[in-house]
Amino acid sequence: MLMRCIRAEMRKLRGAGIWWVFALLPVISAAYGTFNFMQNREILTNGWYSLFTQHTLFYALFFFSPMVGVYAAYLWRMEHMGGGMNMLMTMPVYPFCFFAAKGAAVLAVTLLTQGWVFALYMLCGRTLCGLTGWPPLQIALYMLRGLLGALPVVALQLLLSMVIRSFAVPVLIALVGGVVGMALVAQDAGIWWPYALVLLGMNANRAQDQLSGGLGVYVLVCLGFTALLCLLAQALLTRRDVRA
Amino acid sequence: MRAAMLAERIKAARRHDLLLAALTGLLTALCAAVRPEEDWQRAVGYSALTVNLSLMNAVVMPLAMAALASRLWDMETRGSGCRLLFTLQSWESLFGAKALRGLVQNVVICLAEGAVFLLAGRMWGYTQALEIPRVLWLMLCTFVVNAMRFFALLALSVRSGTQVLPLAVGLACSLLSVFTAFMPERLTLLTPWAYDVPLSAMRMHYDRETRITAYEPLAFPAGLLAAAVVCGVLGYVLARRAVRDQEV
Repeated sequence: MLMRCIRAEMRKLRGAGIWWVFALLPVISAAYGTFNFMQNREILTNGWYSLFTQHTLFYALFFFSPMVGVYAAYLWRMEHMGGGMNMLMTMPVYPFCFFAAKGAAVLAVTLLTQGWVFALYMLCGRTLCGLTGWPPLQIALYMLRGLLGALPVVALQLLLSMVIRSFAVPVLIALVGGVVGMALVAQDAGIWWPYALVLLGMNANRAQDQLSGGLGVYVLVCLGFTALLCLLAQALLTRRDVRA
Repeated sequence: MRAAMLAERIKAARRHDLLLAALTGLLTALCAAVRPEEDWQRAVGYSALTVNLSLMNAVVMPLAMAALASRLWDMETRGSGCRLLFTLQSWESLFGAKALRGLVQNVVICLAEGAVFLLAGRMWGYTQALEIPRVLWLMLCTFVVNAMRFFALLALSVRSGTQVLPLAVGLACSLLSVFTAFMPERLTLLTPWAYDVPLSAMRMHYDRETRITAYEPLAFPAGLLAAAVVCGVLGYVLARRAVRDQEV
């Protein structure tokens, strides 16, 4: 049943306008990061590491969450139009399956986005910045940690888009959440804020690994937030009734 | 017009648009405010807040305006509401009411940011004297640039008939604003949606060797503000035409 729901959500994504968002935003971020790296080569001496921070700083700080917000809001859009929510509640499917299926679809697009960011990073590093060899394995680990940090953001944005009928408001909340996350990370309190977890995981703002010695806590917090938000979504969907 | 405004108020019932606008302005300004730890930071508190806030506005406001504009046109997008509406009210009154409501939300954002200016100094004990004309200038510039963004994105919302496009454009503009904020000044002038930074009339100098940050107050760039007003009027015309061209 869940697989059918996932297939239905994936079908919604075909030919959707969000692919432009997916393709364009990481390109802007990569262009900015590469330009900044080239302009400050005398300070940025850590090669692939330095280029990574330049490529991902603003992406992880401000734009990752709104991008996920657009994906999530798009998938809930149809249910919020023309009685779609009533149709969803009367289908012979356990309501949480819809939430999980949307989560899987958003996560798939997020995974592709991370892959696209990494591909652009490699391409810019080798062709434009003249970096030799391959990026250190640790960078791939940072990307994976970023994906782990994306789990609570995906769950939170899906929950917000489920509750708030407007398309735009959850996206705006994600941006403001990212801004607040920046302030909290500066005070070393970012781990308790879902929107700051991607930044911490990707280690986008510092040369030293921010999570060294604290990876276990990070994993627990990411999974804990995700589980909590999924439980909340389940509770809301279970109690929700058809509105005639 | 009064009936059109009433209709907009009814559509906005339970949407808490003004609260959303106030929170956006408040949180943006609070994140830009410096919490000083040393005396020299207290001595440049308001200058630092001016620079930070103009940068934060350049990043946050394109998307915020996209959200407000697409939200205002949301009800008309659903179920081709425009067709029904235009048989009941003139397109001029519909557009006028939307424009006025958008501008009121913009004023709320600017007032919230201005309030943070007044509060931050007291809360964190800035020793720098607060220059009211500079605060008013910043609020005026934020209003003008936001109005430009709002009308351009409203035009896009109306033309596209979907909310994804204006939000994607708002997001791309936000990202490009970060890009242009650190570019040479002439290049910044090519991106009107990021005029917050050159309009701030305050420049930051950072010495890498001594790690000292200094702030230089500049004369108010009235010519650039005039250019922003022209862009805003252009956006207004585009949005008005977009609504006019919606066919019954």
